[in-house]
Amino acid sequence: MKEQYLQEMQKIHVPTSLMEKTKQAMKEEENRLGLRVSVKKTVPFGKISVAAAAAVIFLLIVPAVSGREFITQEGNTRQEQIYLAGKEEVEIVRIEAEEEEAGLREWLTELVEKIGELFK
Amino acid sequence: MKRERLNMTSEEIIEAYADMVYRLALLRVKNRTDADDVFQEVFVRLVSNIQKLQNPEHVKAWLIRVTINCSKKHFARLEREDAFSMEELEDTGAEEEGYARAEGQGVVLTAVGKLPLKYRSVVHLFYFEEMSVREIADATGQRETTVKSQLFRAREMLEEMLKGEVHL
Repeated sequence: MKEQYLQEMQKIHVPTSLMEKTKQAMKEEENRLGLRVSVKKTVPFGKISVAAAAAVIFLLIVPAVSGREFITQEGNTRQEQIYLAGKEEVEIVRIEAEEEEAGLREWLTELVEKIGELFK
Repeated sequence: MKRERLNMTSEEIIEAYADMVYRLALLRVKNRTDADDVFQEVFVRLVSNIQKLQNPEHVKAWLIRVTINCSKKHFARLEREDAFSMEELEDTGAEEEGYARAEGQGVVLTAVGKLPLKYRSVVHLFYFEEMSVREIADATGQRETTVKSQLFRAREMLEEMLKGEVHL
């Protein structure tokens, strides 16, 4: 019975027209869903290499070139050191001037006192 | 656990399983017009579900289950449209348009077509597709014991129908 059933069933095939119509309907469904399941895409190896090299350049070299800007400790850059040195020097000069002024005032004060004593 | 990925396109799947789906659909709906509709619906659905399928066995089971479901929906639609009655479709089927004698179908195939709908799929999958009881249970969403009893009962009915016509 089984063998006869197999023989009888094997005579049944999908009509060619139905097959073509169904494949067309499947393509339309793929387009509707935005799928491209029947096409295998591969990225060319060359494009991957170029992209990888660009990534390496961007991630390593760019920060190295602008690396000094990333050092945030105050006074580490030369410009900052110069500035601070200048600032310090100015400060020293100012202090010296103030001291000299104070010394002069003191001298004048003593002078005035002495002149006062002369006219007593 | 690494998930398997199916390495088949939808076009490859239809080339591999078209006859299987069509035969099962035809066995269930018993006329070519409706079998054509079921066939097309199954493979259009495949397009949106192919990403979920993991391997060829999974594909086969999925196609069988969807074919059965689509043919059930087909019956439900016909019921609503009052075109045919379920009893007519599940009845003998020998005089159904485009099927059985009109297409020169064999004696055994005709007898299988006369079986109740729930037995037809199981008989076809077991004897023609040579699936195991477990595989049939997975594909049809039934218990193994149910499939076994359906096979047993179907064989009894076929033997009764084919007594004297076919060597059993």
